[in-house]
Amino acid sequence: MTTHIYLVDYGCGNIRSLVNALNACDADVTLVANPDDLVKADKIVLPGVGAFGQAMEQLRSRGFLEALQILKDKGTPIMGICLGMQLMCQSSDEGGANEGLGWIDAEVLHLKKLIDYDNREASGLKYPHMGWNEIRFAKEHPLLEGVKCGADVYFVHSHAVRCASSTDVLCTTEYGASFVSAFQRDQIFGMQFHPEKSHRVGLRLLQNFVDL
Amino acid sequence: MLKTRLIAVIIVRDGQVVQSVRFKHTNVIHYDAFHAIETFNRWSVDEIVFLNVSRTDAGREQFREIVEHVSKTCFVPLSVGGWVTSEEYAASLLSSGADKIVINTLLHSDPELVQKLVARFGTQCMVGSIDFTQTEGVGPRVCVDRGQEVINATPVEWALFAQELGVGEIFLNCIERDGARKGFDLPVLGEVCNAVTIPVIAFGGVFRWKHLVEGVNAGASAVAAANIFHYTEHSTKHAKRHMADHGVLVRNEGVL
Repeated sequence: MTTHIYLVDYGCGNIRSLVNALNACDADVTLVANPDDLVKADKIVLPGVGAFGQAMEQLRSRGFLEALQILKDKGTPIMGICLGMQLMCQSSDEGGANEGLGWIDAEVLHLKKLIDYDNREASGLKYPHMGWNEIRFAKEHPLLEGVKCGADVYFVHSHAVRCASSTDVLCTTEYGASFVSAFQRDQIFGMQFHPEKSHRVGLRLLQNFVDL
Repeated sequence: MLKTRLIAVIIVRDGQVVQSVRFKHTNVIHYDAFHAIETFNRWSVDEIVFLNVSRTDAGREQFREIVEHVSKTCFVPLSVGGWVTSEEYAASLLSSGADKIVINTLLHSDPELVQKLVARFGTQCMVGSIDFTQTEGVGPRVCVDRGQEVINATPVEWALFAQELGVGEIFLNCIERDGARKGFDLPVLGEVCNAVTIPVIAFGGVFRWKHLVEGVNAGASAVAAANIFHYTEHSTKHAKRHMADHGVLVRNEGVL
């Protein structure tokens, strides 16, 4: 049976790569620009690049906030990717204080703020955190099946998630400090990296989500 | 830990992969750009930069079509550029499957448009490409328009300017080193890496794998090459093996 993945298209950056990768996972991908169409989804992917505040505003003005909340309450699996993951949190400090969807008890901070004061090695780090870095597993989950702890995936971001509850943390990654590179609570999933650009490892993670 | 990226650069003219020597593109290496990208993707190279040096409008549209075609099977980041002079063209490349847009002359000809692109697509989406030339007695100076116009700025000044406009990365190339097989211009590379807080990709002149290691030691976050990767089977894997053997932290995949 083909899984119908609905990709939230709210005018937030480039989603062609994600469509290509999900197609490679044999998913039936639909771009959804009208929130009313979301109800038919088996699973939802919430992508996102760019600024947090603008993205929330786009979701709000296009009427996606309520639609997403209904599907979340219904238990439809929803995967946030990169900024999409961050939007699922309580708040972000990007460009001032911004409120998120609040599905995960977590805050989004600039990576520099996550660094310990005594970490001198972190002083020469470049931002954005861009390139391949390792994911360490914090718990077991079918989403990670077939992927090795320590596998490299592709990141490009300057802000990162800090979870209040460690039980939500799925993967962590080191860049000056340890940050949450993937989380999961019930049917809510988030990945800070770009699985669609993480070659075999990323395609496997997407395949696992499609097969959940 | 973040890994040092190895980037394969593919330069195309009218749909064919060409060799670049001091910014002249006379020799065709491959007849099929699709095949080149497919190969690098299979070898698990960390990233691909795809540049169009066609001189015609038809070449631009053809380039976009190639991007659309290759992105379906390219699952590593794909940066594309060449003659990006409008928001519409940048948007069309992105919706064809590019992940990042490489701009060069635009930094000089229309900085406001650069800011607009950053605002619309995000910092992570914009790569500022900087070409420079070494003139005796003058020092390094930035060139635009595929190396044809020298402007009154040093690579460090220009990199800081690009960073201020909001690009997320610098792609640095020395014209005299392009295809010259002598490795990167290490002093300038080092200066630029020290000056900016965004990642710098070193490009131009790699002929031995040790040149890649030299670039990393000079401070580059990523090292790139074009011509040399086309000549031998599994070239990028050999390159990563050499980097790993010389203390560079590289991604595990795609190492021979």
